[in-house]
Amino acid sequence: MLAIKDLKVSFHTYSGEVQAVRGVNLSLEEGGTLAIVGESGSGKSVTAQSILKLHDPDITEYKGGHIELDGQDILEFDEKRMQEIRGKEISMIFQDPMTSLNPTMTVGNQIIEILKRHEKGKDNKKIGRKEARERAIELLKMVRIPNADQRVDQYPHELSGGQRQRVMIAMAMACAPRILIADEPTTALDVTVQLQILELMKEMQKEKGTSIIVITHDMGVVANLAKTVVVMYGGVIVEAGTAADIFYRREHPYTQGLLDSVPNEKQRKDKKLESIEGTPPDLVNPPVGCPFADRCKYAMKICHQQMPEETKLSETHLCRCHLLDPECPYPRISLAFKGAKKREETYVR
Amino acid sequence: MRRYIIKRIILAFATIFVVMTATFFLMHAIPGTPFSGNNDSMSAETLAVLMEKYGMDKPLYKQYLTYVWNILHGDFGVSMSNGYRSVTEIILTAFPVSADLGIRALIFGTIAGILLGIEAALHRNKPIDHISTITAIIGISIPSFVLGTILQTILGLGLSGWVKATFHTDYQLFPIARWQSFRYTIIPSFVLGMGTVASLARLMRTSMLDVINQDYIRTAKAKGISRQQIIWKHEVRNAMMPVITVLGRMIGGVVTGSYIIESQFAIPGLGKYLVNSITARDYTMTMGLTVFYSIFIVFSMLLVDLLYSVIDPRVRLAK
Repeated sequence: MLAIKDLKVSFHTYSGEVQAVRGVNLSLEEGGTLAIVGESGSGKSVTAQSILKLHDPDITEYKGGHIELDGQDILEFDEKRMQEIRGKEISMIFQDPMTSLNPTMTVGNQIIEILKRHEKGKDNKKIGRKEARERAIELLKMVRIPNADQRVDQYPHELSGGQRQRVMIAMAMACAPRILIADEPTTALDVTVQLQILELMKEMQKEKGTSIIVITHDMGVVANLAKTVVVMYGGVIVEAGTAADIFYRREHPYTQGLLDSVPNEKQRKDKKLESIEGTPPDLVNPPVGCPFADRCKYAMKICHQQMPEETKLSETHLCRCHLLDPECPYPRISLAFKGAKKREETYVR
Repeated sequence: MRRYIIKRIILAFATIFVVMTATFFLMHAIPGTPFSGNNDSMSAETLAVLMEKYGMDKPLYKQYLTYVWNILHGDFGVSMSNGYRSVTEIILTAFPVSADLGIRALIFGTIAGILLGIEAALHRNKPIDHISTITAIIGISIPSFVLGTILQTILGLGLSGWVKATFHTDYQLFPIARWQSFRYTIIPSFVLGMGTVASLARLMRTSMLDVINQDYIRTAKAKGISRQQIIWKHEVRNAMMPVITVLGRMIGGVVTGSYIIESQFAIPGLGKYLVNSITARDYTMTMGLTVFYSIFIVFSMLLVDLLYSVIDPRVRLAK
C-alpha cells in the first residue's frame, strides 16, 4: 500500500546541506506494522515525517526517490492535496504529548477540528458542531479516557501525560486513517503507562485495520508491536527484516549494539550495561564508507572506504555490512557473538 | 475567582491611597504656594485671607485629613488656576477628548502592530520583515513631537498648499491642529499610536516565531488543517499572550493622553492640565488628576489580568 523507494532528503541549514536521509527503501502492507529503529539523528523521524511532508518547505529538499501511496507518488502532490491526505488517509502521533497539544484549546475542540476538516455528518452534509462534539466524546471513550463527557471540555494541562497521549491517539484515529505514524509514542511517558499506550494502539489496529509505522529507539516497543523492522543509522537502512530476523538472526553490529544496550534479567548485577561508544556521524559531511564504521567494534579498513552493499540473507532479511562479504576473513556477527570472548583472542584487528 | 477579584480590588484601593498620600506630601514639599507665582503685588493681608479661605493656614496633617475626607465624599475640590472651576468638571470635559485620542491611537497601534508582527514572523527575512523592523526602529527612536512636526509639515502644510494651488480651495484633508472632526484626528492618533505599533510589532514577531516552532503547530499541520486556519486559530491566538500583558500597561499610558501631542496639536485634553497644574502648584488639580489617573491605570491593569485568565486557561488566578 505504501512504498518508499530510494528516498533522499536534505535540509539546507546555515552549516550546510544536512543529508538526513540518503536512500531509504521500505514498504508497508495493509494492516501491517513496521518499526523504524535507530538513535537520534539516524534519519528515522525525517523519513516518517516525509510521508506527510511535514518538514519546513523553505529548507527541505527531496533530492530523490518516491513515496508511493497506492502507486501514486506523494512527493508530486501539491500542498492542497497533502492537506486532504493528512489526518484523513495518514495521521501521526508525536513523541511528547505534553507539547503536542495546543494549550489554549480544549481537547474536545482539537478533536472537533479534525472531524470538521475531513468528516461528513449523518445527512452527508457538513458535520455540525453538536454532532462533531458527540463523536469527539465517542472517540475519547474509545481510547478509554474516564469521564469522557467532562474531559472533552478540559484543556491539555488538566490531563496526565498518558491521557494526553490517548487524546493524541483519539485525534489521530478520528477519521479512521489507513496509516498511523507513531513517532516515539511512548518515549516521554512513565514506564507504567507505556505498555497501556502500546496495547491501545494494537487494539485500534485490530478494530480499524489501520497499518502502523512506529518510530522508536526502544527495542521493547519493537518486540511488542512490530512485524517488520527497519534499523536506520546515519541516514541509511543498515538492516531490515521481520521481528524474528532482527531479534534472532541479526547480522549488523549496530543492531547487535542496540540489543545489547537493553537491560535484561540475565544481566549480572555487577556488570555494567553495554553501550555503543561515540556519537552518530555528521550528516553535513557524511562518511564515504559505512556510517557506523567509526563506532564499530568489528570495523575493518574497507568499512571506512566503501559503503557496504545490501546483502539479501533471506526473502525478508536485508543487511548492509562488509562482514557479510563472502571474501571477508572475519566471521559474521551471528556466528561471532555466541563466543564473543574467544573471538577477541582469535582475531586481532 | 471571586475571592481573588475582591482581594485585587482591595489592593487597588490601597495602591490608590498610597499614590494619593505620596502626591499630597510631595506637592506640599515643593517651595511656594499656589499664590506665589505672579503675586508680587499681592499684599500680606490678601495672601492671609486667601490662605485662610483654602485652609492652608492649618497644619499640614489637618489639611491632609480634610483632603482625604473630601475625596471619600467624591469631592476633588476647586482648581486654583483654571478660573476656579471644579476639578471634577475639568476632568469631565477634558478627559473624553484625551480618551478619544487615546482610544483611536490604541486601536490603530494595536491592530497595525500585531498585523505587522504576524506578517514579519510569517515572512521571516523577507522584505515585509525588514519593513517591520524599520518601522519599529522609527517608532521607538523618533520622539513623537518630531514625527508630529514632520507630518504636520508634509501632510498638513505641504498637502493643503498643493491642494490650494491646484484646486483653488481651502479644504484641508489633514488639518494641522485642533480637534473637530475625523480628519483632525488622523495625524495625532497616528503619531501617538506609533510607539504602540513599534513595540507590539517587535513583541508579536518574537512571540509568533516562538509559537511557530512549537510541537502543537506540527500536530495541527499533521491533521490536514489549512495554513490560514493554523495561523489564526493556533499560532496567533497563542502568540497573543505576552502581547495582552503589555497591553494592560499601554491602555493606561495611552488613554490618559499625552501632554506633548495634546499641546502640539492644540487638543483640549487632560494632559496639559496636569503639567500646568504642577508648575502652578495647583494642589487640588494635581491631586485630583493623580488620583483619577491612578484609579484608571490600576483598574485597567486589573481588567487585563482577569482577561488573561480567560484567554489562557493555564493561568489559574491565585486564591
